Amino acid sequence: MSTQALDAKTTVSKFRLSGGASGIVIALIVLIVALGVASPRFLSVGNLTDITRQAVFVAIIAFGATLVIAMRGIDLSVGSTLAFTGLIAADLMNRGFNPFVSVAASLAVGTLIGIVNGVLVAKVRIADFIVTMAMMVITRGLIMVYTEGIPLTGLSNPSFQAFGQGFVGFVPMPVLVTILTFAAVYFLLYQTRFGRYTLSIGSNPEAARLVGIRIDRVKIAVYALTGFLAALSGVLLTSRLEAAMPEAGEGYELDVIAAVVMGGTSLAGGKASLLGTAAGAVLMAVVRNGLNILNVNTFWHQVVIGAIILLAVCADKFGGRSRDT
Amino acid sequence: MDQSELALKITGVGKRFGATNALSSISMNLAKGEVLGLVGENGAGKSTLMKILSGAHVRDEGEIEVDGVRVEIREPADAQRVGIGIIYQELSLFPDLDAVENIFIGREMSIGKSPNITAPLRKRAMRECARRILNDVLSVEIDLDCPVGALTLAQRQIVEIARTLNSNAKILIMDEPTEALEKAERERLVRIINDLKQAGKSVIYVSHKLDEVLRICDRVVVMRDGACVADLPASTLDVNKMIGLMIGGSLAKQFPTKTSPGADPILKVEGLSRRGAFDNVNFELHEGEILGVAGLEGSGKSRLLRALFGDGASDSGRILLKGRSISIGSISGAMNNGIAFLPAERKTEGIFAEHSVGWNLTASSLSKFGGVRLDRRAERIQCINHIRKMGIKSEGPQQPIGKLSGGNQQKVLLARWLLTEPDVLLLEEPTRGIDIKAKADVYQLIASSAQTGKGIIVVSSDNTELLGLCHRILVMFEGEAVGMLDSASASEETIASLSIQRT
Amino acid sequence: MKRSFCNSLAAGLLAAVVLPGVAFAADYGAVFPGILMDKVIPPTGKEAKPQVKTNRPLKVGFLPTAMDTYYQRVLAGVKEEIDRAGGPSTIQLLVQAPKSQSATDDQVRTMEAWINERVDAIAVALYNEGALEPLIRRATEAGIPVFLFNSPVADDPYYVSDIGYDQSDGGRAQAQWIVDNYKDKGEVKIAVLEGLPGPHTAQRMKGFNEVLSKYPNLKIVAKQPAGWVRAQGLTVTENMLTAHPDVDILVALYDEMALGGLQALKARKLNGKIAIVGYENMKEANDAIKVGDFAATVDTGAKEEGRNIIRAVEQFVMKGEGVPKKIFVAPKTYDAKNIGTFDPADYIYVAKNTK
Repeated sequence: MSTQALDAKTTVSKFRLSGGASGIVIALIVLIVALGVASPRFLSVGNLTDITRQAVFVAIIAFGATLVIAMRGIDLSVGSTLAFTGLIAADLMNRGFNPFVSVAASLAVGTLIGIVNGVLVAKVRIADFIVTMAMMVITRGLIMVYTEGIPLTGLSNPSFQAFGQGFVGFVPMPVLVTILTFAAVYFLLYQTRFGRYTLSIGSNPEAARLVGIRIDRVKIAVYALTGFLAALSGVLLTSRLEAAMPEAGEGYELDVIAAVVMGGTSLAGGKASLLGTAAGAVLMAVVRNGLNILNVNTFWHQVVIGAIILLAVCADKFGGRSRDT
Repeated sequence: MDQSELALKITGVGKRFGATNALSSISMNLAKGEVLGLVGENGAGKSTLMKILSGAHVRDEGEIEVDGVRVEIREPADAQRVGIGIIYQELSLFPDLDAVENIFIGREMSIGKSPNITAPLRKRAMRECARRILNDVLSVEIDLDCPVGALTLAQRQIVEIARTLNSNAKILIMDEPTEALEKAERERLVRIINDLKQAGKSVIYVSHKLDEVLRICDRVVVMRDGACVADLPASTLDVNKMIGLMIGGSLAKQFPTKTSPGADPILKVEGLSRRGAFDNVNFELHEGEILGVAGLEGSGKSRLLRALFGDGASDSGRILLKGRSISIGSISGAMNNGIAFLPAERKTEGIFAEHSVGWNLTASSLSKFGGVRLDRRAERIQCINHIRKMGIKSEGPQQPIGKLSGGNQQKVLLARWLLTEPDVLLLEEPTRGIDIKAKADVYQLIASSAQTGKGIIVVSSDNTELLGLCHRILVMFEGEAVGMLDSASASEETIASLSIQRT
Repeated sequence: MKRSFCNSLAAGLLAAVVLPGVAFAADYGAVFPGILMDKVIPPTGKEAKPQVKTNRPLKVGFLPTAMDTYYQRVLAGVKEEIDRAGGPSTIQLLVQAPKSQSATDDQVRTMEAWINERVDAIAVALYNEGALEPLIRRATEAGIPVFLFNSPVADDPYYVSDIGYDQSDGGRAQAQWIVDNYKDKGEVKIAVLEGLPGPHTAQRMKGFNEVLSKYPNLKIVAKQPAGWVRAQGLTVTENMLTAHPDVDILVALYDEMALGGLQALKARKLNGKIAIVGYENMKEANDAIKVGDFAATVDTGAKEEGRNIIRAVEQFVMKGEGVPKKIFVAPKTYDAKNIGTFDPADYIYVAKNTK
């Protein structure tokens, strides 16, 4: 084969690597163009800022869930963890703790929840679905025990408020946090041994074991990362709302899985597209934004959202067919 | 040959996949009660032809006649209807169902004249029928109530044959049926094939094991590059002639010349035992030595090998590496001690199918490439080097490993472990399921690794391979090391008799 | 089992003959302060009959649709009224709440347990039309009177009394506040945050529209669901403001959503400029009115509802007197003008310290 042909091959494969999310990106562009035509206000800077700001809570968790799913795992506990950790941050601040200490404690608790998930999955070998579902119910229950259903409010500390509501230049703080998170997880996934190991476990667990990967440790680390990110999202949401809501994050686990799968990460594991996940999370926010802007009848919302999820996954299948064969 | 005695007649069958001609104008006959051997390198078109006969592919041109009647085979159900049954290389049984359920899957007997899917099953009748096929036709005893997943590989294969017979197949296609079988089980299969032949069934026997093909088959068809290159009675052929026809020339030499090993023992195993697996095993492995381990399935040879790699602990005994006593508690521990292991099951234990050649190649030595951040440039250079050094046919490190042939995949996996620069290389069935040329390459790679001073242990169920490749051969029987043979003086017969000694 | 069924059947038949005459005779105003007699409907005759139970403490089950700020307030009223009636030695309160708003199956389990335990009365909040009807019938047939509270669709014939307020009155009150303050201000644009689709949303919107539709200058330009929760109140408000930046009034069918909307307005420095009209008079909403972030909210008398539950139990189960089929009070609107008149003690349970 000539060098030219080799180069061409390399280019193609590089394109594919970054284009792993081609389907969802196409779906997203089509949707944005369509909404831009339908409503002139949709494409305003203000609205686009709103959309990104609305997408971050699901997106941050979905970055972690991308690793979990690429590892052939599942984490249903993220929504409850978000609410639980948000509550911890709020409660500590209400008790007079410094906001940074409170946030750090909250992130630590989120990580701990992840570690417990990971240990039960990897060491005790209980099915991930069961472990994380139980964790989801337990943490939500603890929230109710503590709050009796009443939100925690009065979070008036300005530096805490800035976390979820502030701007750095023209970029909203939560969006900045999300971009940094994306970069960090991207680095972990594609540039480190940890990422390789995660994908190896998802691709072929037995082979991964036989090349000397400590599967249990990697699994625990991935769940811990996801717990940490759920807590980060919880802190952002609490700051944004200036309140810790007992029902916060309900249904997030499914939004998160939808974002990851729409983004082209297979539930069968082994491959992950973090860019696709980000696009998936944005797509969900765009759909909801579009429904509100176009004032679509209440009763149709669920139908439209479900249909868009299906279409996005189909677009990814179609766009990704050449990759699979 | 009388036309009326033909079970199957294929005329001018062709098949293309995109630009490649997988099959071009194949014609062949199969008489009733005949066993036809079909041999060829991987990619020669054997599988494509068998898939056309079994309905997995549809031919582009040509005609197929069964019992003198022209048939259209467009899907597996068509093949079953005209009486063609296939027994796959990868067993296609339902492991959680028992033998009876498997034999009747899709053709269950139900109560009622035209039973629908909810009709109650005639379990006793099915059981009786299954028992008759297994005991009377195939003359084997199999526990009918046991989930087939718990049966041995050979028993599962027999269940699969029974399933095919139950579908009233007149023509049985067997694709590499003995690949994973031990000698005694192979003998039983040979007997079953003879019985089927007596009963007037026709068999197409696809295999890489050329000596076996010669022994079992009446006639042999050799395929190369999608065409039939020879159709001769088995009595006129020998193994070398067949290899010549398959590769379109003569194979210089299958096994490399042995060089004598060093004097220093690199690995010493003393009294190594694990209850229920192996008992009081002792041996020494020298620098540059290739040590073979022979034995039947269940003899403990694989568990011994895996125990040396930290996969499953041993209860007692010592392992000395370069004179130093080590304890191997985990796989990573074994790797840290410079031990590498190539598992037998390439697909389920070896490759990461979604990922590239490079990814697969470096999977067990990533710590060589940078600290926190992977140095992907260094990784790529290493991959390119190894691809060249190992003679791996690929488009480069970025090509998905799934697109490589089995032989090239195996070379990638071998390279994966050589990259860890091990002192001891443990190989489990290193040439299973790869074609003749690739086998010769792998043997050459193993031999040249030994020449660099590594100690190599090869577990294999192919005794010819062990004799040709190894310096010495350890024979295991029921968990015990029952003999250590010098391959220069040993023969397949001595290995076989030691392997089955007390039966 | 069979016998008790026959007994209750007989009791039901008896009640059908006797009760209708009784129901309208009494003056309920003395027992239930502020009761709206025009909301009272005639009994069906299938209800449990009044009884004089002498066992103490009387076991009373309290089963909301979920535990949240609103029901906590109802519960405060229940507890205070129990204290007034003699404390836990007189009425023992059993509280169970399902894990989420729509978990009717949780309510079914609790009801079954209470029926088997033979409690003396059950107070339950229904989420859906027809929800729990078989259980309410079973309880009634077992001689356990069932009282409903905060149930927008009390449509089965077995319950004794429906306690709370008319949801559409809540919507009317919101609309009336807008009419009173904006009817002369030319074209006024209104955006509405609805709850999840269901009877609460439907009835509140019905009352709201009824009043507003008479004033063509008061226009609803956007109406979107925000799932009763704050996080969605925030995002949906943001999105609606993108489509309609010139909105004058933001109406939310629940203060939680309104508080989310307030966050959205604050981020755009529009708080105080766009009038927020909430619903429920949650503590935070109340505070927001005081600082000018909220324009108004509607108090639906949660604590009074709780008191009325115990009053009804006292009347019906202890004294053996009939109670009206609907015990509804009027919602009250609070804005900057009258917020000072609201007693913050209404939010919490105030223990009775002197006997």
